[in-house]
Amino acid sequence: MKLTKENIETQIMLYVDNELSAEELRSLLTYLGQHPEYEALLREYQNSVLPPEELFFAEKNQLMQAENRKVIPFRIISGVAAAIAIILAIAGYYQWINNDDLLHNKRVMALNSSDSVANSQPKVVAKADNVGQKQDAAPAGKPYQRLHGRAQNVLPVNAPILVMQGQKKNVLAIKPMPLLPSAVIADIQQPEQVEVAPVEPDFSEQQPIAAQEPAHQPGVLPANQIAAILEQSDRLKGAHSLVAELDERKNKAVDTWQQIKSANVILKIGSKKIMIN
Amino acid sequence: MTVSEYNQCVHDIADGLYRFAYKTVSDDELAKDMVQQAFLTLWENCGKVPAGKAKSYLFTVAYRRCMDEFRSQKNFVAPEIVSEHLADRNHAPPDLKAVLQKALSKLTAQNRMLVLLKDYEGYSYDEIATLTGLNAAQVRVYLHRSRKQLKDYLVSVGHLL
Repeated sequence: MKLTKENIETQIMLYVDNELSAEELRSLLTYLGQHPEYEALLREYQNSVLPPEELFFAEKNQLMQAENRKVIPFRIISGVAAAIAIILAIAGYYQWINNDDLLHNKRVMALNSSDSVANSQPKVVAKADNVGQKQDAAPAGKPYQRLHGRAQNVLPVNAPILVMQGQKKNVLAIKPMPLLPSAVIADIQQPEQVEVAPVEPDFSEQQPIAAQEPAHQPGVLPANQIAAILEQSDRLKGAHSLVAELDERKNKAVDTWQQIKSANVILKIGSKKIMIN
Repeated sequence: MTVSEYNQCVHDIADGLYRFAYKTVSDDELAKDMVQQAFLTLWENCGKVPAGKAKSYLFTVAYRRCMDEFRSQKNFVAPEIVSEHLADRNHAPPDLKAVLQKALSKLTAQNRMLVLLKDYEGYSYDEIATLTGLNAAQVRVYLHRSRKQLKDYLVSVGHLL
């Protein structure tokens, strides 16, 4: 900037305030050297600068803080608080889920502690060809044993019921295993004439108990004869289809047996329904 | 900012802050209260204010407090009345100092604070602008007007020559 008498006063004030760059300062000093009439103005502005003056604040000790007091930045405190809140929320959520599962899995059961149930002997009945007729096909088995504690009379939603349709009957080969429930066979077509044919496992025998089949029903072969029949009559026409059908039935029965093992079973004795789980 | 850094700020800045407050409001008790309030505010925010920014932070708080007092027009007394009771260790001629104090009292509160920040604390135009919320051009204009006022007052009483 070129110095003139119009801007010299401003440059002098900037000089007094220490706001000039090195180049500007050099220019000003050169100009003042060439124009000594402005030296008095420079001196007047220099005298307007406040001289150093010391004042002492006597209460500094009241302002100071104890040295052993640690200052934790607010962002750290807020971060820790947020982390704790998140952990508590997650723990509360899992707790809520577990409680909900317990309530969901809890079965509402009522006790049926009738003595007649404990002392009654299950009857082994077979479904006759004629609907509505009851027939005792075999002598009564062992007295009913409560295998899983209390007997129930409330029908659960997952209770499997073996269905007997018409003349065909699902037969199970019961293996001697502990805590075996009884099988329930019911005819859903005639619900008012449901006949229960509990098959009690015989724990005294180590051999699988063969299913009880009335001999007067042709076409229904015991499972233990299937292999022999297969060996002997593979040349028989139609036997293959029959064997395949029997195999299929056997597999279905095994699947159903697996379901029964893991599910509740309803035992109907007379007019009473007892759930075993 | 650690506790030791805060205490070091108290040791280094309290005197200058008190001087600034006192020269502005000319009231000893009010100036002390301003200093205490400024350091209390700094302590409450010491987690956010680094040690290097403490001085400008304190002067900003004190400046705003003084501006509030200026707007209320309650406690502004001419500094020339009480300056003789202060501890004085400067080496300037007493008459020039007294005349300057009187000339300083003739300025507006804002211009007075700008001069104090410039002459006592050595802040640049830009630093004063940041501290006061003005822009650098405004600071320059206000300071030049103040300088001219002080210079004209000194010349008018004939103490410079």
